[in-house]
Parts: sequence; structure tokens; C-alpha cells
Amino acid sequence: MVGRLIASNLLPMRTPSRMLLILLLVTALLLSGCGGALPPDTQGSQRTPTAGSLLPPEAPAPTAMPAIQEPRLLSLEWPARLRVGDSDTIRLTLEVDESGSITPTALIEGHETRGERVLIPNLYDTHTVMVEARLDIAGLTYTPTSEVIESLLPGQSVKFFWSIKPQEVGRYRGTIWLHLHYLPKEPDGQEARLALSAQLVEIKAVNFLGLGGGAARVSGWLGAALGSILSLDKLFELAVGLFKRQRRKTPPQTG
Amino acid sequence: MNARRIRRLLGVLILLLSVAMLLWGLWPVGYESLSIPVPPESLQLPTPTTLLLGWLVV
Repeated sequence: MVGRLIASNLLPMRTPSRMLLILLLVTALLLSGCGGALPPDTQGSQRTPTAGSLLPPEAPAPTAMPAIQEPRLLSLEWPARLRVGDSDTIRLTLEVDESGSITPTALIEGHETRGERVLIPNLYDTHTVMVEARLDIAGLTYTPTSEVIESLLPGQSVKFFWSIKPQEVGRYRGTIWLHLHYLPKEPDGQEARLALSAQLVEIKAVNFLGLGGGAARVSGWLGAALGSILSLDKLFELAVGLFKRQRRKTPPQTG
Repeated sequence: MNARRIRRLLGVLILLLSVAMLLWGLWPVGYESLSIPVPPESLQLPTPTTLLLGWLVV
């Protein structure tokens, strides 16, 4: 639109003043475009002050967004190597971090340091927090395949388990997604879903001489018995003697 | 005498292979573990900025 206007009306007039006018017009358009792209500063009143931030002494206690006021620890455990045909579990825990502490807030004004209480509304009071976990891994049999949802309660851990079973040899890479779903307790509350974590896991499925875990164990037991009989003479003779004695005790039936 | 030696040798080979299979099949698998601290700020109700970032991540 602007280009067409410039091309049809202004470009034919090649005087220096016209060119200057075009330049001014283009510059004004660019500046107005950049100004519109800047986000409005709507979070100034809700920003949580951190260590080192300056606030006037008479400033009222700031209120932050509702938050869960307990540090947590995300623990993930998975088998790095797995025998083909064997099943195992991937465990994900979102537990309360006992050793963690909420970062204290200090406001520094010149050489004076003083603390100020930050009012953080408890999220558990206003929202129901659901933890949604999902495992995405290709080529591997696992359950549950769908999203698992647990509610996050104050001071309580949330655990997720997935059972995995490789059918073929290979290296399998997957992702464990963890989302937080905030459901408001009041009807006019704000519902939100937040991706908390996406952890990569890598599992190597192996076999032994083409045998999976179960087949190798069965073959191992049978082979150990056979090898023992063949290599240990006394044991072999004892087994043969027992077999012969058993046959002698039960004479063949004649019709 | 010769047959007995062959039988013994075969038996020892089968036994060794079977023990190797059993060890491989019964050996406990190694686990990898990972612990990540989640600060309370990450559990905060998302602001419009974090919503946008979350959308970008997904």
C-alpha cells in the first residue's frame, strides 16, 4: 500500500525536497512499527524484587504472582542398558527438596541493607495444581503410553512409573515431558499450563549371541546342567546308574 | 579313553558358555539417575511472558 503510494505519486517528482519527504515518511513508518512491537510494561507492579534491586524505603510490600512456596527436586531414574525381552521401569519423582531454601530477598540502598517481606500468595489456596507426565520414545514397548496426571499437594511427592520392554537390539532415545496444569478454584480464575521439564533419556537394548534376557537365562541353566553331567564323570555315571536302576525296577509290560 | 576326554572337553565348553549366559542374564542392569532442583519460581503461575516461552518450548 505504502509502496504503491510512493511509486505512483511521489517517485515521478524527483526534486530533492520530494526525496527528503519520502525519506522522512519511510523513517516515520519504521519507527512507528518498532514501537508497536515492544511489549507493554504490564508486569512492573508484579515483579518480584531480587537481591540487589533498589526500591524506595516507603514502597509498600510488593505482591507477586501466586506461587508454590516450597522448593522441589525432580528425580529421574532409568536403566541405561537393558536386555532384549526384559522389562524395567523408568521412575520420575517430583519431591519436596528438604535441603533447598527459598532465596532470601535483600534490598540494598546505598550502604544500607535491609530485608523486606515479599507477599507471595500461596498457589495452593487459589489453584489446584496437576502434574502431567508423558513419555515419548519410539521403537520401545512401554506403558502407559498416554499422559499420566497426578495432583500436586503441599509437602507431598508425586511419582510416575513407566514400564519399558525392548523387543529388538538398538539405541532408543526418548523424552519425558512434565507439565504443570493450574486449575483455578474460583470460576473467574486463570487457568494455565506450563511445561516444567523435558528430560532426554537414552536406553540401549542388548542381546547375547542373538539371545534375549529370558532365552539366555533358560539356555544358561540347561547348558550348565548338561555341561556338568558331561564334564563331571562321577556325576554322569551316577546319573546313568540311577537311570538304569530305575529301568530295572519297572520291567516292560508284556501283552 | 579318547571318547571320555572329548566328552569332558565338550562338557567344560558347554559349562563355560552356559555360565557366561547365566551371568549376562542375571547381572543387574545399571541405572542412570538425574536430580534437578526446581525452585519455587519455576512453579509460579505463568505470566504472559512465561506462557509465550512455554508455547515456544512445546
